[in-house]
Amino acid sequence: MLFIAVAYFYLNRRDPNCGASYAWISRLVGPDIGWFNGWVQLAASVLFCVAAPLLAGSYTLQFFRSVGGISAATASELWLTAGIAALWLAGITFITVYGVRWTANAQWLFLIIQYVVVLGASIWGIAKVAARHPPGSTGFRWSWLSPLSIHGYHGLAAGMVLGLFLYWGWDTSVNLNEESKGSMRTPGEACIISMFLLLFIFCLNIVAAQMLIPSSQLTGQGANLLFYFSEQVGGRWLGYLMIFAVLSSTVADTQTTLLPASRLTLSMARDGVFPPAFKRVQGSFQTPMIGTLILVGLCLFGIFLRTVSPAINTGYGNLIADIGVLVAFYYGATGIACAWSYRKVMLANARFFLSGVLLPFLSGAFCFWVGYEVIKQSGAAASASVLVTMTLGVPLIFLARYYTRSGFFHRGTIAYDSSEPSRPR
Amino acid sequence: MTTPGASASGTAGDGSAFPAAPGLRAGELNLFDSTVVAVSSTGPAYSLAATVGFLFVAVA
Repeated sequence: MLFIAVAYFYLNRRDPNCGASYAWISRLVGPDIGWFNGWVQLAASVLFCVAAPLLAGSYTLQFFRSVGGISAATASELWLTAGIAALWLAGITFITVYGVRWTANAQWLFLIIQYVVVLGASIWGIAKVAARHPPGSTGFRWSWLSPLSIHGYHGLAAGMVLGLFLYWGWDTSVNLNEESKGSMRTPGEACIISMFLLLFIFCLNIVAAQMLIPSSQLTGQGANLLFYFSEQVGGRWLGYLMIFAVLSSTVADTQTTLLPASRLTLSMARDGVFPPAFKRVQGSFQTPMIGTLILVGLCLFGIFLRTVSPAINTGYGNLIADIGVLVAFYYGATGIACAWSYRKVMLANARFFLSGVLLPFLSGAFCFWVGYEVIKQSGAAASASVLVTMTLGVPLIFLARYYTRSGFFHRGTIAYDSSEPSRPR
Repeated sequence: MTTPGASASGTAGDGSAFPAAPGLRAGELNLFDSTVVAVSSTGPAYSLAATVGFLFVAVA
């Protein structure tokens, strides 16, 4: 994942376009595959923006239930969850449309809540084990961090797709490149820095959970593990705080999925390969308002469909695997595109060959393998929704080709003849 | 590859003081903002809640 981020860094410094992965692949590998890649990123974003507000709705109700405001029956009410989901979505849409400054400010707030609660709980948990050795707790073992203790390829692919979902999203900063200071450097650097900040908090929390909670309990908790862990660390109120942190995370994540999706469609519409409404930038907010609102309308429709139809809800219920596969595809394609675009200059120096060509290529190929393996293991029926979603991109390419007047699909591709950033702007 | 509306900096390619169409707000985010957005985009707390419980099952 780190070297996919490095690939984003190297590609962004040559061409800081808010379409990011889509724009680069169109230019460097081929317009059709680039368009398809944009479609995959967009599909992943919309699927997530349907699922995440629903989760935010259910965490909101869970929060009220745990503090004693409402009954368990009310908390699992489908239409109430959907209603709160729509409210959250409307709220973050307002901020996203209002301006990128306020969006970033909101993200600061959401992120601080998460880091304070998760880091606090993790450190407290580790301290508790070190000081008091509660029954069932264990000391730290280095083997927890070793990939060699994974049993076989099956576990590797299953774990990796979870990992993809766990890390997905850092590329948002690259879709905001046109709005960043030093648009050729900072967004790519932010990606790489975010890898380490994420690695740190994930490792700390996973280590804390393994130290405090007996392994027999670890595997039985499923999606409840983080809340169970918090209650074990600091009692009921820390559990409430954790629900609040996860809620703020879900809301933040919805916003930062909508945000790059609106920049991606802006870039596609600018190239003339997506409906022109998406490229209209609203004057005083300086955001692609119409495009954002269309996307949100689509998400609201998705929320409605999932609430009325249990079949659709189940079909798209395996969010982690579905999104994991879509993300594996577009990250994988970006990694390989990075290696491909620099093929002429890859032997310029050893460091660039390793970090800009070989490792992004291997990481990209690995992403593809993970996606393929996950579809293979879960079977065609379970992967139907993700397969249909991806396949739908193919006829849409033809539709885009039919309506496009800009010559986008007839442009030649380019290969970079230098590994240095293009002229500073 | 300059496109109308690609940049909000007052001087567009034609040298006019104001861009013909409003563009995105250029130069608004610094490295801290970008990093916060990048980290927050993965939703660390939510991601942990959603995956880690299953991670222990998948690799056990």
